[in-house]
Amino acid sequence: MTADDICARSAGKKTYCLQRQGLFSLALSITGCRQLAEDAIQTAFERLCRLNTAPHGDFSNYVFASVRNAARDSMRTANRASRARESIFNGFAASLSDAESPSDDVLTAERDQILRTAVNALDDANREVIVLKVFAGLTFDAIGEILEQPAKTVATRYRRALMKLEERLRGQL
Amino acid sequence: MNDSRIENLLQQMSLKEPSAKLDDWVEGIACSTESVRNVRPGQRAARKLLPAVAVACLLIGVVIGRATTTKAVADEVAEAQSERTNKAASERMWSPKKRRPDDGHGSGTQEDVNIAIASLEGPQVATLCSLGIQDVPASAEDRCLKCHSGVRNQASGEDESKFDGGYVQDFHRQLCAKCHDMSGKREHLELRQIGDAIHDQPWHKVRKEESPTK
Repeated sequence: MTADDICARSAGKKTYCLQRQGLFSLALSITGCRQLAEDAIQTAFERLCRLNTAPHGDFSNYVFASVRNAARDSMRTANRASRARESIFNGFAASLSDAESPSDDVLTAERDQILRTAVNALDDANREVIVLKVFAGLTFDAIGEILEQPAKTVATRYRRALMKLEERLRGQL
Repeated sequence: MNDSRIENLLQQMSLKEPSAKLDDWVEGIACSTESVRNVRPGQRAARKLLPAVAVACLLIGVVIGRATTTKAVADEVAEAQSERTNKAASERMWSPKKRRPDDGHGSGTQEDVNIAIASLEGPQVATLCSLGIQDVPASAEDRCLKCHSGVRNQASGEDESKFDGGYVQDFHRQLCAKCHDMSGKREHLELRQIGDAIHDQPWHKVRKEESPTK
């Protein structure tokens, strides 16, 4: 076990601790299956541990890109088209809502359902940008590095994704 | 509804989280790169044993190599020592120029002869000559060289032994008897008498059935 190997493992572990939710949401948004998403993360980290040289650029972005590629690979091999996609969102989460009455709970649950449907209705590319920007908290530069696209292109795609969501949510929320 | 409002709504959404199994796997990634779901216990054990087996094989190889080298060196040293001893004894015995000033007479020469005979491997001088050496008198070298020509050993390039592979210039029983015990030894060897023709042949080829005198 080389020093670089140990460094890559510790850096990967640190990245997972910081970006655990974002990595899983990204993998789940691509695969639409919890098991496939976790397998993709495992595969990505196994590849990271076998790296002989340190990756170029930001290590966190590299981890995101690795997870994304692994998730896309698993989708190609698993032929998930015929199965129902699993949402990245949980069901109604009362602990996160600011509801103070049963009627508020109903409104919150309805709102979650509307948002979940709207996000799931996005195409894969737009949903990836939304997940990376909103749920992983990455910058446009970082997202551009992960998706191998210019930051301005990513920003434009993000705004278009928000516009589509606005169109879907208009009149419902 | 602007973009910030939508972002705010999305951030309030409850997300599905990875399982504890995945968390544990990543937690233990510093110890192993193997997937907890893909690796069988036997494989993990084999991977742990592999470096130990490699180190053990390396150590065994080093020990065997060292032992073999030591034995070979010891053999070479012993052989070189033996050669040096033989050469020194032979030179002291047979080289007049290298003879010590104080060993030209008496018992010193006899000791050198004994040393030379004892140090030579294989058949001794007396056996090679098929005759026993009697008491070698003083200035034995000069007397021996009257009959034995010191043929140089072509292989080694050294005068290892004047008798070993040397040519006896002429056979005269009377002359041989001066130094060798002629009683009852090698009856098949026919020695010519003084006055016979000189045959420049190796002594061991001069046998009774081949003798030109017969």
